[in-house]
Amino acid sequence: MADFLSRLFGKKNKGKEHVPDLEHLSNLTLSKDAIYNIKLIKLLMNNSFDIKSRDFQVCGLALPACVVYIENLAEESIIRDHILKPLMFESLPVANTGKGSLSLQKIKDTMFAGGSIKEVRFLDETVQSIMSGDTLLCIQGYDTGLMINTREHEGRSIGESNIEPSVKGPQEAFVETLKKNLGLIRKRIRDPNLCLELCKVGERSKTDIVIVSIKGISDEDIKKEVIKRITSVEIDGIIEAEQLGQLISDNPNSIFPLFQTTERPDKLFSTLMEGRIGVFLDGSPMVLIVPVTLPILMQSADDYFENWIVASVIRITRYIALFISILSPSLYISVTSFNPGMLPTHLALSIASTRSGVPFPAIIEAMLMEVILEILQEAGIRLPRVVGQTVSIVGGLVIGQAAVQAGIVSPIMVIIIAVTAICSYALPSYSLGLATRILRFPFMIAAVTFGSYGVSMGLLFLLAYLSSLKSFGVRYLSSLSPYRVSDWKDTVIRTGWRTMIKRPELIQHDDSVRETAGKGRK
Amino acid sequence: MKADTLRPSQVMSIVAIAAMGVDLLMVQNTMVSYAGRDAWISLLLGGFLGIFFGGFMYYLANLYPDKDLPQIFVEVAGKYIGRLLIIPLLIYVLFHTGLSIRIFAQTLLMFLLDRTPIFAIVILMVIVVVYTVYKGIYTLSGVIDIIFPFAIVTVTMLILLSFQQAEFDFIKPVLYNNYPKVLRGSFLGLVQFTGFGHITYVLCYAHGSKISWKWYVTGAGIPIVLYVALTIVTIMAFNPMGVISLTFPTLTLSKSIEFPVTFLERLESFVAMLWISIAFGSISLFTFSSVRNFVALFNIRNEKFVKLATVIHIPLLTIVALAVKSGLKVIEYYLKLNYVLAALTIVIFPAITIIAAFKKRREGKA
Repeated sequence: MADFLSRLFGKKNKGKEHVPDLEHLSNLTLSKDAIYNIKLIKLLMNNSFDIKSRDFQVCGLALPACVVYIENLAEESIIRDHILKPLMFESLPVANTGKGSLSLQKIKDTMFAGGSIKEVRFLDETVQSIMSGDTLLCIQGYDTGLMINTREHEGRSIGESNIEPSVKGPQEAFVETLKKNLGLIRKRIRDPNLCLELCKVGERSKTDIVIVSIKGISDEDIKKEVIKRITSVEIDGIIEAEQLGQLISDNPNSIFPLFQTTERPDKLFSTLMEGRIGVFLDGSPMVLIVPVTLPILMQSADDYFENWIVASVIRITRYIALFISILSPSLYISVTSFNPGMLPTHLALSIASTRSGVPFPAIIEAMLMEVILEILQEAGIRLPRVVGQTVSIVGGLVIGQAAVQAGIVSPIMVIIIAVTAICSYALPSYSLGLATRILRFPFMIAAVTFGSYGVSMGLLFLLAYLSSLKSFGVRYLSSLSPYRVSDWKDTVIRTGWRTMIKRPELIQHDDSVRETAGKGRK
Repeated sequence: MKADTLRPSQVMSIVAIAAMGVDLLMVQNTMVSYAGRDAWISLLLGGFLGIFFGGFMYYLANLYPDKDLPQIFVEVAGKYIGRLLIIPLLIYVLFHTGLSIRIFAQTLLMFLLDRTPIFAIVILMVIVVVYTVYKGIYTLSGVIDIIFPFAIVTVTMLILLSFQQAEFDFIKPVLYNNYPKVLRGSFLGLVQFTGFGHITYVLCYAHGSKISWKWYVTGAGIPIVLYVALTIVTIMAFNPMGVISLTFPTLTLSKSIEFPVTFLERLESFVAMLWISIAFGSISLFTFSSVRNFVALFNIRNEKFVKLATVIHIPLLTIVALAVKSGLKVIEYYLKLNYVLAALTIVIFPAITIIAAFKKRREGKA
């Protein structure tokens, strides 16, 4: 025993605190001694207080057995009612009437009422399953254990989406429980081609990750790449889908989101129907969606629940908002500092008169206001909701008004910064909104250095950068470049459902035709 | 995952934008100075010649679908003669690009940034251009795709708005006592469309996509139509003598447009801003070609050194752009470069194409 344990932990004990490593267990199997197995498992888990075990005799016969589970993860009522009760009392007739001795197979096949059961031999998978909430049943004389699913799935109930609210769309949102989330998507897609693939990430957290796709619609190469990147992630633990997204992103240094996250099942449904891939992470209410393009990030769930003309106009407005949120302070600086001649005379004079008492140049004025705005936004997020409203009133209205009256900033600058902030909130992707907030600063510097030429070159640089970005092999500006006319039906505008016969070309599909209303009417 | 490839529409927009660089602002001056009121006919004929000679290059590129122009030179003419032939091509492309940047900077100096040092304008342009080229042809084509519709709309709007001040009498009588000049001018017209040659630099990136002749002709046809229309409308607005006195007639044309709406009082500033992107697209494509020439000339295979060859274009282009002090001399040299281009277009490219065709036929028989 001592020799075995020293072999197991030998490498780690040298000069280090003892840390059991699952890698070392991959070749070790359970022994035929059930009590020894339980002791070993407990030892491997550092004898934590919440690891519970229960010794008993199967059907009152002289066959010692033992269950081990983690109190906080496993459902004790399942263990009591579906494991211990049948094995100890209810299966006695089965044990007595059966031919031959009581085998593990017989116990497995005849003494359990429900739940999934699998046989385990190796210690690594045994420990991992117990840590996921399963219960191990060891029977004396067998070097194979039975792993019974007793995972507890309680958690927050399904509610509305806070981050992506919708006016007319479904009001359900994903929660932190993986099983519930998978149920939400299974409920919507009753297609046997819906594939769910499980893998684990995190050397220590062993977080369950489920990759969702629809066979025949999604690109198998992209799916393989997603799985490859996820399985190659080396990290202690992972908490959020966004964190995983950054780890598997094509360019982790990009300020632009190269993956999409959503908490809306209807949104995931639409993306799966387009051939994209969803990644669920246990414990996260957000689902990762890849690949993503800039036009996709400009789409909102409500676009699909409105009339196509209305939706198209709103979407165009959103694109205008994107440009305003990035460019308006820099254009103001370039026009006032470098090229006042670009403005109509009356407007130029009006701006000049409002700026006459301001002691700062336009760039300082703009930077000052932008920094204050950023601070206000941060304060708004951190503060409790009740106080948050006060901050927005004090920050937005009182300070803005006071700054103008004190002559620190011009009224037009307050208008510009306010419009900029509102436009950045009009973007459906929060991460894209954050990117635009950051971009304003280099654009302002370009404007103050080179005027409108600097802004133009900044835009071209940004365009080149965006054009170089890729999300899982798909160009970030796909649909806009290269031109894919069929994809334009759902890019800057959204056409009617009957015209959207084909799925987006940016992903290779085996089944590229949607079963549209138009097709059905032929 | 899908491999990157250029699609036919991208090749079309590349061919179109490459031909619409800094020349867009002064093509009328160059042509009218030579062919007078019938300059637009010379330009039209030049366009047809451009498509014809470009056809050789299109055919040549299709003979070697996985090679660009300088690589084809080496393949067809051999290691030494091929590289020798690359040298005039390299010089032309490098100097054309550098001088285009300089003319671009001078124009901005006149219309947008009167107090900014020319060095600063040049260096900013060069850095952004080299960054785009550094990111590769697919990034560059992505930028061109976005620029392309804006370029077309801007120039078309300018042409349409300028008709309000057009006098048809200024282009009449058509071809009266002017045949020889119009015909000779067509060769000058031909060199306005140097961008067509980019087909031989980009076709090898259209793996698997069949770039048909119609895409090439469409790409070439767009700048021809726009240039001819722009020349006609400029002559009709300012008369031939007036056009000769204008260094950048396109900007002057936009300046002369009168709007009833006060919001667009200074249209030329907006045209200049939009033209920045057109010039950027064209200059980037020429820089890309210049890098490919360097790569073929020095037989660079390692991707790191290809990147280095791209980065080296920052000092190279800056030096070429700023080497000449006088702005007028720059335009003079820019126009003189056309002789090198004429020799390449009329002699070397067709000769290489014919040799390549024979070589391919012989290989086919063998």
